Amino acid sequence: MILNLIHRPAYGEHYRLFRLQQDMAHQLGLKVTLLLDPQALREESVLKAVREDVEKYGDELGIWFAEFKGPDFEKALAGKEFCIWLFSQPEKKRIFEIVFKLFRDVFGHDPVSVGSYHFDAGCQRLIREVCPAVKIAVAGCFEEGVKVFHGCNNSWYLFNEGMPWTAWYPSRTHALRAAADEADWSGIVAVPHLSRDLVLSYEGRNDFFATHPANVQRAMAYRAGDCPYMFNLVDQHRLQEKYNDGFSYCNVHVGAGWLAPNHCASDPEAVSVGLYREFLEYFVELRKQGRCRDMRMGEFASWYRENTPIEKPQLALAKEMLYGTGKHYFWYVDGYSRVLIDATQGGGIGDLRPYAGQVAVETGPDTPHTIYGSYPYIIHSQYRSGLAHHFEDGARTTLFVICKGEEVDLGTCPTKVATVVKEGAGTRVRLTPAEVSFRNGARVLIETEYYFAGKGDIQIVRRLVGTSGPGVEVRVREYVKGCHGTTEYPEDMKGIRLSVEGADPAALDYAYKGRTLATRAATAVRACIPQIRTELVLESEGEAALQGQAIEGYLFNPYYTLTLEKTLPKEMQTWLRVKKLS
Amino acid sequence: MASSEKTLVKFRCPVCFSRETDVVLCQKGSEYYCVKCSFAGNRAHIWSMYGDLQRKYKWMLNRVTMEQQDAL
Repeated sequence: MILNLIHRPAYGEHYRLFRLQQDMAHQLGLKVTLLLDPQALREESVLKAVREDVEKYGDELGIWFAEFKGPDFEKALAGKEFCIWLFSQPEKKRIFEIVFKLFRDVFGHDPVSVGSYHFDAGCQRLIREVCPAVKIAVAGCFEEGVKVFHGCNNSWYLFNEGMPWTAWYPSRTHALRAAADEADWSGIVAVPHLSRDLVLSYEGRNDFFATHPANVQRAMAYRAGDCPYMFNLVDQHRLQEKYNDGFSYCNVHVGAGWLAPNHCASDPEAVSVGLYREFLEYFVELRKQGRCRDMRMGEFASWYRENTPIEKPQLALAKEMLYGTGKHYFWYVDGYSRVLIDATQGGGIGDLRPYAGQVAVETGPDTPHTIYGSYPYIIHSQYRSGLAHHFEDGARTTLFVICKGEEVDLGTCPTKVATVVKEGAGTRVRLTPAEVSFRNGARVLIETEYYFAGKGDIQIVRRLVGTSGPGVEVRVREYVKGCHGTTEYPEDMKGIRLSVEGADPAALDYAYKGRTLATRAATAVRACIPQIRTELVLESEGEAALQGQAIEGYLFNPYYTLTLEKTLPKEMQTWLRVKKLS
Repeated sequence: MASSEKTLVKFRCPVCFSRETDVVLCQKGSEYYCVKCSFAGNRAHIWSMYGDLQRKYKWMLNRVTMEQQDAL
């Protein structure tokens, strides 16, 4: 594992806690990156201390873009905005000019590392323009958005969903999308703000379950000074070395205020400080065992650039280990898609971001996106219903298994991830067989395998690996129910075009009329979604499907559904393709 | 996300917290009350409800090492 330990110099009442953090890190011999906000850059006492830290311990200095106060900013900025990604483009530029100059004036050189909870594509372009020396940025918070907005009484305006969970090369047009290639790259290596639980930050608040002891305190997932979950979470990320050629990444980035008494949890300072120290000590222990390398951010940027090709997919197999279920989620990300396989729901796709569409998003009052920086989903089974629990189901994929007229939804049959194997540039993920039982007593075992071929192409293989007896025959229906959006609320779907290809080709323009297109001998069924420049295709491999359908939704069920139905003698393959809409 | 430096948190409403929402309770004498829902109670009541909420974390006090996670 590679660790970036990041501190932000504090002033005023939290200055002593910042020094406590620094003392701990230095005593433990950990490499530190210090990101100074503009106010810290003007505090002589802070500057004196950090200069000593640089001289004595080699700490790296960078900039944390927040706290834009003072005469320079008063002249340049109108209003009361304080988050860099929410300023207008001219204001962002002015802020970067002021702060980079301030840094240069103070330290006599440019920084290599910068940070903010988020830098949108506009910010990254401006950073490169104003300070080309910058190589790396803390640039987004994995799966921070709707749930944190709610959790903070609908008052925290950071929408960063749909991004990679680990270091990535941001695209030029959407900072949270992994770049497809060198030409698409913004020029900055990005790291997430903290490493988040790859299960619980999808299901719940990411600021409860992060490599930040006080976040775990905020979740109340500890008792007094006893907090094994924070070590388990580090190990969840370490486990990803198994799937990423030995690479895993973690950052610890805790503002000094979090160590103060009663800051967020009802704890005395001694508990918060104690947990922070124990957390850092764990990395030192791992380092002693040769299992962790601490780096400063600039050092990591160079390492990442040298060791990670832009086109390389990142994989993660996360296993739940706080509620005690051990459930599996598998994550895949490359420059064309981010996919989440929810093994507990039969191995259906629970979240799908169609990066292939290359949706361009910048945030700020002068953009159409305003606060919504997230990369749009096609499937979000948490926000958009997923498996039916109330009215109809919502966005998800599944397989319906049909035996003598009875249909069973594979989404109700829990599985786990059995194997993850890299095959050249592709990745093959096999699930444990799902057991499907019918009322007539028949049972079948169906194994699902995904092959991520890259470029947005995902092969879905279904295998009949067991039956309760001879003569049990089943038909199956591949099922993709989609929509688009960045929040839990539906977007306007008018303009989407659905089509079926086969013996009876047909097409319709989405108008919320609940119509169904059906064809015999189906070769493909398709949804073209101009709102997110994306085409979603379900394509039969080998023989044509018996039937293919494209189903329009209606306002109380605002989705489109694509299906392909086949017999399942032994094995069948289908391709789910995510493409840029031409 | 970060937390506002301005608010000194004492107790969060256990009912709102059960919905993953942070709401700081207001205090009136020895009683606390929530402005977002109808919860009211004293410290003992709050701590007791916090304890109930933590019951969902069955492995909260379990160390699950990387090797053990791999085997899950």
